Amino acid sequence: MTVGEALAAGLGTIGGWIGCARGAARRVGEVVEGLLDVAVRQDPVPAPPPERPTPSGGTQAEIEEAKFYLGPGPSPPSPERSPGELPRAYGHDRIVLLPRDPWWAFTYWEVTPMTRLRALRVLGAEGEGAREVLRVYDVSFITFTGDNAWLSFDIEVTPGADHFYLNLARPAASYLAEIGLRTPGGRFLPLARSNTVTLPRPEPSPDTTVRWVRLGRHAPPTGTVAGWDGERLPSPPGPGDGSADPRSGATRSSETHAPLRSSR
Amino acid sequence: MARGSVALLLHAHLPFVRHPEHEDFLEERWLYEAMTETYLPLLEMLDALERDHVPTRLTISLSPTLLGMFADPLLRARYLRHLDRLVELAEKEERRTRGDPAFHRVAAMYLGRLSRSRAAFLTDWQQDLIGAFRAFQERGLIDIITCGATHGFLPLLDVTPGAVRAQVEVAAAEYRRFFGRGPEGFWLPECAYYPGLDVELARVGVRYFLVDTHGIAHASPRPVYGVYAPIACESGVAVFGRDPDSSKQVWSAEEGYPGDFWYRDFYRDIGFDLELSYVRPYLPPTGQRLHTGLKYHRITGKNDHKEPYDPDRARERAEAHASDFVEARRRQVEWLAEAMDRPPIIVCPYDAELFGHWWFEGPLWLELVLRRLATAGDIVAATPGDDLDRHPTVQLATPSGSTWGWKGYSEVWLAGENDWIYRHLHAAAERLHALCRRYPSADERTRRALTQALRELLLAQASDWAFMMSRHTTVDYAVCRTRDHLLRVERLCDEVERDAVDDLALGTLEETDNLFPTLDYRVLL
Repeated sequence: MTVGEALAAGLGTIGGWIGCARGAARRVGEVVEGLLDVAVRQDPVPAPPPERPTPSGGTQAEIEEAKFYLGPGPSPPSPERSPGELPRAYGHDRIVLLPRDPWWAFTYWEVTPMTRLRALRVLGAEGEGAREVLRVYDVSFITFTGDNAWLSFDIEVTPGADHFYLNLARPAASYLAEIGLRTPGGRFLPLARSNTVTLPRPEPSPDTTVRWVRLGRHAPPTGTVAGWDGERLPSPPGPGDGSADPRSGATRSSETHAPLRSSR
Repeated sequence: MARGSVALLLHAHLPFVRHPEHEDFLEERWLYEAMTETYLPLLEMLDALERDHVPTRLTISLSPTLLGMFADPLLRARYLRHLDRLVELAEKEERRTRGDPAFHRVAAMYLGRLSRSRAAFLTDWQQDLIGAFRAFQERGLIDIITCGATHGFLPLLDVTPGAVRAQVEVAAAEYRRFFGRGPEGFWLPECAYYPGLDVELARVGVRYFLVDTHGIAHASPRPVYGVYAPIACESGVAVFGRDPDSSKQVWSAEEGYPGDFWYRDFYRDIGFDLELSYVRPYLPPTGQRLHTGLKYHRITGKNDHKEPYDPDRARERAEAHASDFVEARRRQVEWLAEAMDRPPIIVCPYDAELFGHWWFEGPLWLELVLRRLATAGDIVAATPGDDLDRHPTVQLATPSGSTWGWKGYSEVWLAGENDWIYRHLHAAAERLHALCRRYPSADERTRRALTQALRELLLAQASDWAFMMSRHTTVDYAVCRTRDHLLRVERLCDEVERDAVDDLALGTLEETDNLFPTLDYRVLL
């Protein structure tokens, strides 16, 4: 059956064809949700190795990369114009947290030798055997005061390390981190505290309230109106490369929307 | 009466690459190739549509770095030299291939196209591409939008005060300088959004921006119409979402049009196929083989065997693909309109350089799509701004953090290969911000030094460098650029702090990295 025929036969047929979980989908919204559910369930796969471009087509990244592609083979070394090296350290105690995706954040830090010395002095005998740890706090919806986090956990870092990728459990939650010393007795002495980051949400929001606003061309929005009794259309497609969509095997939404493939 | 609209958006961007210190610099060819293969053909397409009175609405994002390079006399002169050489090579090729009809017709095609492009660049556009695009905007064919000043990856810059604001405000100021009014739309670099970024856009009067599909699908509250209608942030800035289906039709490796076997192959090029002594005059002085842009084969199949390119068959495929694209949008609109109480808008964003550079037939396909949309009746080409004018009532919701590209989040720009840059980018931004606050009204020399330091910081922030490191492409150059600009920020800050600005060195730097001539360091305050 072509998709054109499927459309002619009615949306319910398409709903069944793509396996809408709700049974025969009678409404466009259900069909779209079903289609996009399929997309969400599938995991992306890594992009192909970048060294050898594919001879045709290509993922979005490869196409973007083509802007900088002048031919195969290594580029000659770039002439350096400024003498010197970037500083190995900046002389300030600092830890920064950067969100990477709904599950991961990156952190880097610097603790000056002076701060470390002072900390060990404060700890005194307790400091014997103290380890450097990252303490990560879940501070969703709160103003962190040092002891009110929903939860926290420690990660012991390798001596000399200055960055780490944190696997965080809760997408859409807010986190901050401290770098500090933890004594064998369990005392934690923070040396620097990071900014707060909120990880992105990897799924549709549970909030289904509807408010409308009228946008003016050069004026603030006006006339906020709540409520809506229409049919909910959309549609949580999975994130990722709109092209590469690496999802194999299952029907794709485009096969319903745009059935006429380019012929090969 | 149209039941829905199709918004085609092209994002044109290249990082600022200008090396007056070298007579011939390899990476400057990125610009020259895109000029020849994408920007000039797009202008020629707009010209043809206008000549034929085809009602056209297209959105084009021109990044501030690209505008800066378009406006630069040195790069214009160098481009013309490059184009002259290319025309000369095409003439030689036209003669060389006379005995081989299959290749000769391709060679003749290149000669014709390049000669026309050269004439258009010199005569029609007077070497002023910005003026050409501006004229099409003023005559209503296109809406030009802006982008981050140097295409900084904004979610990872939002750690130091003023860094994101500078990227946004400098972009808006450059837009005003070139187009005489503020930008209505803002292409977020890499479509990278984080909640709160819209507030910075609202400050400069931006009406809308664009996110990838999941930015809307995962917005809160949940948008009732998904990506088929804009939403509005609390700041009043509207957000449009990328339609996944039309994206795949063009971007996809498997289903996308550009992979059609009749289309021209990107990788086979006479820069590699012919004798080195023959092509050497058109290569860099080092003699390193490079693409010349003259490519005689079609994709043919999935292996390395390539047949000669057939322009007529390729045109037929472009026509079929344009019909298919418009027909698919028509069906999509028909289907969506049934369930929506406003006409749906299908938002189709692409890298501009995909058209012409990667996908040789792309500009032709685009022209054919626009011609078909002009007569479709039930669907119509529109810009996001047109849609907001017609349907100003929009659902309130905040998009979720998202980017376009691989996996849909920041992993391309924050990975093992490039994560080291952020420590330095943040430290430089913080130091410069603090220093600028110490000199709210500096003397002339300090003002110039702080402004140049900001220019260097912005150049270091370009997302292109992180992208190249992550994709293992021209890594040396990307590392070198990041490092050089950061070192310059350091040096200029040192000099300002010691009240020992080196006038001569500053002048050289101002001449070399001459982007944003009206920049003022106080944008960081």
